[in-house]
Amino acid sequence: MVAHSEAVPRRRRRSHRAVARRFDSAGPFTYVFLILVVMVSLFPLYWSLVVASHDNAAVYAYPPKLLPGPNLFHNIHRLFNSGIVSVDFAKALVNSAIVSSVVTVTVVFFSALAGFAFAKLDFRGRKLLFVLVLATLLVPVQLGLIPLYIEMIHFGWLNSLKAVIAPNLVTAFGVFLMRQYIAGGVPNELIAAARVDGCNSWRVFWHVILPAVRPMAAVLGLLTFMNTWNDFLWPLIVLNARNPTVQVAVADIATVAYTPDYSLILTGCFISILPLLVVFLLLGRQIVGGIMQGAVKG
Amino acid sequence: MAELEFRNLRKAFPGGTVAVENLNLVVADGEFLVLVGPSGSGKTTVLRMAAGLERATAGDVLIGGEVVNDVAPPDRDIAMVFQTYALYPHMTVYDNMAFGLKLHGVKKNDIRPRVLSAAEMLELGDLLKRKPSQLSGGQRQRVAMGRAIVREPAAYLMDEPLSNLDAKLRVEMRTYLAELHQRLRTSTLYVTHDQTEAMTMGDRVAVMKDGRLQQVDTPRVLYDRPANAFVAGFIGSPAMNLLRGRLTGSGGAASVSLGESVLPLPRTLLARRPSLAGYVGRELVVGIRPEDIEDAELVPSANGASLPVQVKLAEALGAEVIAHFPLGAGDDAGPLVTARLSPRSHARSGKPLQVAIDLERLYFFDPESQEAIV
Repeated sequence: MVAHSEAVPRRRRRSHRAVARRFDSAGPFTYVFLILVVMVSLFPLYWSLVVASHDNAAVYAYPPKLLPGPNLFHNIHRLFNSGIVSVDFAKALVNSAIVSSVVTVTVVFFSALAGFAFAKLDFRGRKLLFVLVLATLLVPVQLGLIPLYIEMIHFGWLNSLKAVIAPNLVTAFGVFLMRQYIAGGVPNELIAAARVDGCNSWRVFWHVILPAVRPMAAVLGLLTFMNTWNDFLWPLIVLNARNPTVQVAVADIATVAYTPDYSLILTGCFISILPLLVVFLLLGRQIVGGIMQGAVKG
Repeated sequence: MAELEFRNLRKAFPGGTVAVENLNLVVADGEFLVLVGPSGSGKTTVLRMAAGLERATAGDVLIGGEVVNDVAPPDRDIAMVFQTYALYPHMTVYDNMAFGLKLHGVKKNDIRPRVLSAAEMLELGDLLKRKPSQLSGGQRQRVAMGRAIVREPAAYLMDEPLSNLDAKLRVEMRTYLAELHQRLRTSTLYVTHDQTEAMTMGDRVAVMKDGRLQQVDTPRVLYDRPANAFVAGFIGSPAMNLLRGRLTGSGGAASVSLGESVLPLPRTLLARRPSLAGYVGRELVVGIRPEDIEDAELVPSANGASLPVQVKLAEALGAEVIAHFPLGAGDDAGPLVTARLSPRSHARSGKPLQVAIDLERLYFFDPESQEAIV
């Protein structure tokens, strides 16, 4: 009887441990699945490297070429040599860096500022204004293209980077993200303490809110940098081949000749991805931390 | 140092909720006044209006005799300690304490000695380079105090600063704060819902309920002469027993019936409370403090009534026995009465007990207005 009553809890303990192990540790199938996901995700990048390191015929080769070839540096040289390609690719990279950096900084700054106002300041019409800001998310981007284009003509900003930067200085998504983070993550007492210490609203924002939203600012910053760097449609409309961003430059390479030079196009694509990888590697840890923190704080 | 005064203060929030109604209260120069009351009684709103974080709907806030209704928080010369400490998480202890001084334009050379002096007073000297996340609850509480002290303000406002600490640390910090106030003698308005804190720390205690001030006086007076049934029930632990009764009597003698029990009232008590005569033949509320009930076996010369009761629950706490029982018997025995008995009492759950009530210390309240009958 005693032996039986001891055996039951032991078996139960073992089964508890088995369940815990099943959820805590990854089995071989998990690894196989994850490796497949990684391969599918990385293949386009790898394929662009493979094609970028061969000549144009590699795209049509059968069986397809799966290993990098010897022509990568030759293609890079061709890409940056404006005599061969019609666009100034170096200038396009610099332009994209300028546009993405400026837009990232302003989106993070203004989103945090507006998020702070919507989350913590008391003013008439606050809820209505916030709903209006959110409502702009429902409007398709394409709907604003023509009015914005006319506006840029009136400003005289066509073919200038200002035309790409100005419409993107702040986003409704950024404001929403920051508002939610500040409302849940910054205690009202902290703001009250800052006010008693001598802060006006601007100083509260600068000394208390901005340091507190750093993790979410990194997340929003990376998302904005990626979106702006990869933005194609609006820069294509307002910029020309003499002053392009990198995506416009790649498109220009693709359309300049009767037969597209895929090795050159994919060299451009491959190089255009590198800055994003660098930014992600630099901010990765903070971003993951920020996402987790946001998840916990709701 | 300065006097802090509220004159006819009223606060109504949008939607109609009245948080504070016609408050008149003075925190004297150098006084430690505790504002106590249950949640939602409006005490924190009063503190926030004093700090300038909330605007009064009507009435005035005066600091040092000056009306400060339109003065911004930093210019009121007050410092506030918050319930959650509200330390800046990205700043070190030193920076947290120095921040307010910097914003007030104090020179860098003057900031350092002031911060170091406050840190020494609060035993924070070794922690100045740490961030709040690296501190314990008690240390954070002291940093919050330090941030207020370095300002050398005219008055301190404290919003339940000990409520986030565990019981042991709270008792330690209570003593610590009381000592600190003895040293600084700066006018302090301290908000709490803990009546033990209020009674042990305050020079005077102001009791609030539903936005209205019920009574303000020394802890002793609040305990001995509560102005109404609410104060009587709120001050003291365990709370005073408040029972409905009927006063009967004639020819200068009187007694009060509580259900089946009849307690004869001493003539000295009737002489002390002449208004009781007007309640003969009427209902009233009788207040009995738990500590005024004792195991009759332990009070041989009891001047009060001795009643047989059936103990429902007896909690032996070491230094005392808390017993709960109805005064009557049977199904309709009436509400439970709490008694604080000597540890030598033989009170046991489910057993009968003879209890003695100190009739000299009975309290009486009007059943309608709830005001004390004196």
